[in-house]
Amino acid sequence: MKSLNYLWRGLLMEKIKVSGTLVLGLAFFAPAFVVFVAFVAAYADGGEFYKPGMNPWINFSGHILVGWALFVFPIYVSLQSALYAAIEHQNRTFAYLYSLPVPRWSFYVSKLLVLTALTGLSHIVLYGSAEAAGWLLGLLKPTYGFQNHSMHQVLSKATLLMFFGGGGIMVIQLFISLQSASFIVPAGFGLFATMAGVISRGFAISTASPYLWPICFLHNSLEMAEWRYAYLLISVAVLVLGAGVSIQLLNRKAIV
Amino acid sequence: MTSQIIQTDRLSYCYGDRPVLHQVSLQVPTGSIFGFLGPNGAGKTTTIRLLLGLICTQRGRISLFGDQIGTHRLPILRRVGALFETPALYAHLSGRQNLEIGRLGRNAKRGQVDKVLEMVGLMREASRKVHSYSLGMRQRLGIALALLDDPELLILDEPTNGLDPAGIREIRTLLVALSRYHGKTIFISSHLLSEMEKMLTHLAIINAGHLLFQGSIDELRSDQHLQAIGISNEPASAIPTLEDIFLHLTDPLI
Repeated sequence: MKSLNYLWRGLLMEKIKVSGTLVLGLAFFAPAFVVFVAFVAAYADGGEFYKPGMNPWINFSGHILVGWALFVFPIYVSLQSALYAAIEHQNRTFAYLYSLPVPRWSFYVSKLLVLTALTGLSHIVLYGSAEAAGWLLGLLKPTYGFQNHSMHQVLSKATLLMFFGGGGIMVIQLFISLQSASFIVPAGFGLFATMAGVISRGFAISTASPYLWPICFLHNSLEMAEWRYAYLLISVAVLVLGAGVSIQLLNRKAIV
Repeated sequence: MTSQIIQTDRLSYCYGDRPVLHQVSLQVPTGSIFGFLGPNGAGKTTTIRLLLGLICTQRGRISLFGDQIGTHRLPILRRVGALFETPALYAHLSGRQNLEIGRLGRNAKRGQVDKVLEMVGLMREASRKVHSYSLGMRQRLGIALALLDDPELLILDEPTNGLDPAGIREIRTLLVALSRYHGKTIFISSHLLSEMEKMLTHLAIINAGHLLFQGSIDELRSDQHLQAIGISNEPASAIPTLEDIFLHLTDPLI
């Protein structure tokens, strides 16, 4: 009961801290950006891909999901966690926070939950804006045939499940962001880890990278034509284990 | 109630190979305004961080309210308000929002925010963003954060840092009132000796991690102590100031 009280208060504190920052805006911007790019490309050159009788949603959703899972999702989590932790680093508030009569773990768990919620929100935005963009294409370019087909179930499920594939990225990036006072370190690490994943993609070893688990999940599922949950389970396990390790390490951290 | 609100016993601390504190044994009487004085780099901030459990004790013991900080951190922190050298404030939030964060952290009642805003004279500026505050207002807000939930002990690290004379006097008046009328014990680190002299009841002087003196202001100025450290107070009109004694203790060239 006491732990829940600490956690609830921690979450209320985080809610105040993020108000007026770019954190919430980024949760909308990142997925909307992917969909916007896919929309512009489809609007301009869709005639080459969307032939009569074909479901244009397959190609359109594929562009969005792959673009998100492979590049934007890991980079977005890296930027989001760095931005979020910078609220404390920039204002040098860790000493004050840790001098409050609250266990240290509650600060970390509150932050992890907020980051998870923001990431979840961005996936809802991704799904919602993808649907809206397809609907708009149906209106603006009826020859593509968006209005005659749909992919609601596959698109919504893929987006939702991909979110779970990001557990490993979230826990790693949040830890680095809280440890390093510099914004560049977590943002740069996330960027290079994403690029390393892209470069090594296709080699078996690349599947060990949590930064590739969202795309691995998507790829596996598409290839087998059924939902394959292995990478999601690994990712959630890493999230839980990583949170435990992070709490231990942050508990021991000296605030100098 | 223990008569010593803070006690440290042969407290030593090193950053890597660099020793910062050497066997520091402090006794801070309950109800005092206790000055912890020393030049920059003397070990004041490290001592404060140890007192608050922000860094772990390597050697020696620390007790506040009679309990060890290592084993009773949360119950102790419930009774302590702290202000750090640069007040830790969220610049993008208003003064009231900053206090709301502190209130939630301390699980204090809602009315506490208005109460401390009133105490530090920031009620009218409460809804302004902190980035538009002057340094003096930030320090006052920092003190307001430390006062949330009415703690018995205030630990203030250089609360007058960077303030103009009027701001310093304002903070001094506030701290004296908190001690005199609200019964707070105030542990305050500073290097502004003339200012400290006007409000302290007790003090400790630290230099290069060594405790050079601790006791009351009267004990510091006693003939016996002055003779022991080789300061003459003759003629009687030339009573040495705190600064004279401090420099004598801390400057090897004097």
